[in-house]
Amino acid sequence: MSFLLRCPNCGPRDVSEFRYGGQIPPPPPAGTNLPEVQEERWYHRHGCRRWLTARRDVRTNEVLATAWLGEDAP
Amino acid sequence: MTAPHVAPLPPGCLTDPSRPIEFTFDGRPVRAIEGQSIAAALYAAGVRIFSRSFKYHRPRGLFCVSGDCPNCLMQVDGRPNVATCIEPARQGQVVRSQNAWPGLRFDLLRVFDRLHAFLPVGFYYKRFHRPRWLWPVFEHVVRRIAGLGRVDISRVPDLETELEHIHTEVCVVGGGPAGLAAAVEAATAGADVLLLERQPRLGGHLLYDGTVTPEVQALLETLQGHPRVRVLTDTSAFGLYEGNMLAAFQGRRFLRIRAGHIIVCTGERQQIEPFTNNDLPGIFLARGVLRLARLYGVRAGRRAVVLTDNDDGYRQAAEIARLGIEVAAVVDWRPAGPTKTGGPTSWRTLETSRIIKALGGSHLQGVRVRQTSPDGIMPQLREEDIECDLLCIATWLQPASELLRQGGARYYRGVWQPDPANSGVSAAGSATGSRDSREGLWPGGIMRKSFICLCEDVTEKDVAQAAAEGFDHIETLKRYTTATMGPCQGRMCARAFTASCGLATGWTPESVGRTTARPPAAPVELAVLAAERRHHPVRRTPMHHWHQSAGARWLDAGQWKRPDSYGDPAAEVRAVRSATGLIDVSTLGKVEVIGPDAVTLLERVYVNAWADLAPGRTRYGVMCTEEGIVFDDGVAARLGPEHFYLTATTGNAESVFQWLELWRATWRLKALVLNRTSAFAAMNLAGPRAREVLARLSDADVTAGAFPYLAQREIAVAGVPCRVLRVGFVGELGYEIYCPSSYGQHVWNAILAAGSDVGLRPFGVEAQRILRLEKGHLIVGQDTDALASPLGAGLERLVRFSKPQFHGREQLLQLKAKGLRTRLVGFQLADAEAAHGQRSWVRDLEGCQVVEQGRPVGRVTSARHSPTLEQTIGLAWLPVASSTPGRGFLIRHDGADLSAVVVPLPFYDPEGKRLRS
Repeated sequence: MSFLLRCPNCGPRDVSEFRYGGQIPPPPPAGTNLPEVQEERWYHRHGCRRWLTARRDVRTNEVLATAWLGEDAP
Repeated sequence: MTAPHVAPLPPGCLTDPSRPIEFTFDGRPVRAIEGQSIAAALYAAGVRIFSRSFKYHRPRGLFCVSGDCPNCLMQVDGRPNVATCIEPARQGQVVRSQNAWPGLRFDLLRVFDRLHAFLPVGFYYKRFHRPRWLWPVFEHVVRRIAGLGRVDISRVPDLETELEHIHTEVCVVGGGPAGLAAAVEAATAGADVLLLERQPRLGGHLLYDGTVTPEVQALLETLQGHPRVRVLTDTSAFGLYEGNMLAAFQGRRFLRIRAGHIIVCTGERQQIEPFTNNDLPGIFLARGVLRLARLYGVRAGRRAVVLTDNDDGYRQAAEIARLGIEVAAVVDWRPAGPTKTGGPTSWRTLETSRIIKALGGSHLQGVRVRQTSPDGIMPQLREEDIECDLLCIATWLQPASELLRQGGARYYRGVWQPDPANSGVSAAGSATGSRDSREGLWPGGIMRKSFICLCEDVTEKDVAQAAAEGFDHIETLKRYTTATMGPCQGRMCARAFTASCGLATGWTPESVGRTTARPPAAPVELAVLAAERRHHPVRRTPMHHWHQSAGARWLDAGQWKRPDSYGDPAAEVRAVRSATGLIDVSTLGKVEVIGPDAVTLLERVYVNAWADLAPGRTRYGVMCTEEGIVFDDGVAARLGPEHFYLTATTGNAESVFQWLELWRATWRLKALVLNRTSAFAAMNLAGPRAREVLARLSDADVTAGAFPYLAQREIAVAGVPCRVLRVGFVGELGYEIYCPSSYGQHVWNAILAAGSDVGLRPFGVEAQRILRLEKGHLIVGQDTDALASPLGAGLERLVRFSKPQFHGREQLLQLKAKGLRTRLVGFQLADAEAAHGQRSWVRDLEGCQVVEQGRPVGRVTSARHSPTLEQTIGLAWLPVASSTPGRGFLIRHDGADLSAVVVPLPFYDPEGKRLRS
């Protein structure tokens, strides 16, 4: 993985600065978890230390949108 | 043969003849000049054999002079597998040959070459298959003989590597004419440009093959000092990753380059050609001969034959003749045609001809040329031997397309097309194979000892045999024969391998396809890749230097350094029990939660209740994951109705903060979560005389009535405003004192001075571990694991199931209904001798299995000798059925079974009288 994530505070940053916080809502049962665009939580560990949500296409690792967690949807 | 006098070559353009240097090669001194490569200096000194081949130990000489082929790999100052043909020689360097025994010129292992017929492809799989019991012997022998270079494990590796992150709008890979033009165009258009060149100077192939034209000179001058251009020479790009990230290295520096656009201008290179003994020293790529002469000032031979299949080969023949090398003949596979010569030439031209064999034992002495009739009817019109000491391969250049292919480029109509889905990568110049490389014919056909892979000693015959054994796809043929899998990674043999796969399987060259290109495209040292991991931050508490001067033995706790003890942990334990001790606990996680929803956040995150906690009171709390597993524990104080102060274990401080922040945001609670870990120094003053010591430093009323157990007060200690929590992790009257970090040392000193006459002594983590174990307090992460529920860990009394919602509630309810399987219990060793001896191995019991009828049923998580109880005590997970106090069980340690007995917790002060005193 070496894509960029746009932190709402810090701007586009290397994904290695972030901690992955899982998919929202939780992944469906095994067998139905097809790769597609999903919503995820990320924590900007080596940056502003805030949680954000990202909409990411897991097939291409393209990040379509980001927003603060708990605020408006990305 | 008497050599006619030839004028010496001018010095190479990378060298400085005014600076002579000397290094040693296999113990002998060798002279060189600054900038010359090691191999060039050795060649000038008469060395012709540079290595022995991987499998058959055949002699190998210089071939590519570009760092691509495996022929010149040597051990340089202990580093194995250095490409000496491009590695600059340095004063005092120690260079050794590798993979030869006893030496390069006479290698006994060459016997494998004679046994060629008995070493077929897949030899290892076939021959060493049975008997199985001989495997260790085979492995030992094969490991000694195979492999490249030796890692000197006695040598301290040079780990002085570093990492640089570079962000740029445009990154141009390759400083040849195409790269220079691309960089100038991008910079002129206003982009920030990074230009990478693997040679020490810009110019690409023009440095040795052709001349720097005025147009190129203008490009070089434009780039010189251009404000938007950064040029990195001696820099090899080896990987193209998603998100347009390029990995490269410059010497010992690892570069991670994030570029908006990457332009691959890596050019092209010549590759190996098939004929018998095509690996003999004296056979060079034509460009290798030019590089050796023009970059390093060394002539490769006296009399050359040039092998070609295209018009440019004649131009290269003329370049070689210009070096003072006699060109005896140009051998051209094509029938006689137009435009091959641009004027009168001194050489013979042999058309419709191919080289079928290189003549000579350990060095080239001539080539055997076979001529076909132009109409192809007579395949063997004539054979002729031509005397020469140099054969120059000037056949079609193959694109250096590795990076493009890593970026998803597809081979289409003879050209590598960048992935249309990725607009961030493009190519310029010949890296795409812009010339029609299909014109390059493969004159293969199974010939004896015709190598298609120099690195792994794979011949055309091996590929044919592998195909006959049923491997019919290029990827399986690659894995079975290991062709293209050596140090060159296909850079010298991709075309030869593709063509022989086509011949062997009967597929057309187009349908054979190509093997997958993966990083690294250039050999890179692991130490360089590890540059990122070299940075290990260390955190020190405000009292660190005091501990150091007091003789602390250090313990690494995550990033923190903590005093494990000050020399005698047992004495420290006794001091705490009989007088008073002081421990630095600044590493504890400290989090403040403030706001109207603060109590809601805590209620939902911890398993225990907080709503009923009065301001000025503290409580021990446990938080679980959503799966009901113990995640962290710690004491929290309620400072006000909407203000909490939490502590977390040292290792979990960051995770607890992230966890609270995650749920605060997810639930949209009105609260502020602050990480105060570094803001406060913390120390625990504990022992029967702790109150006496504290009273001497504070005007506040610290009597038991005014400041009872589990209370929290904001008081001045030694003149510093402190937050003091009356807690008892070690099982004595104790005060956890938090003050601003900058005052930590002052408060620490004041307490030590105030307690000097009551026997106060500092204690470390080891004493604290013993003290808390005597008290039966668990440590999260040591006594709990990824399966530990608070119910099994003896924390059931804390879990407030009446709360409507908290993490782990459903799982814990289910577990309660189903019944526990294991439980954390206290034990002491029954064996009197083991119990009373302060054995150093006692702590080795941690992690040992608990066995019942020879089967593991549980494990020991903590074990220490208790100086207070004079017993060896510990905590262990046991099956519920075996966990009743008084029951015996066995611990398997070092092959022996020790008997232990379950004891009720805590071991020390069961009524908690000392704690509350």
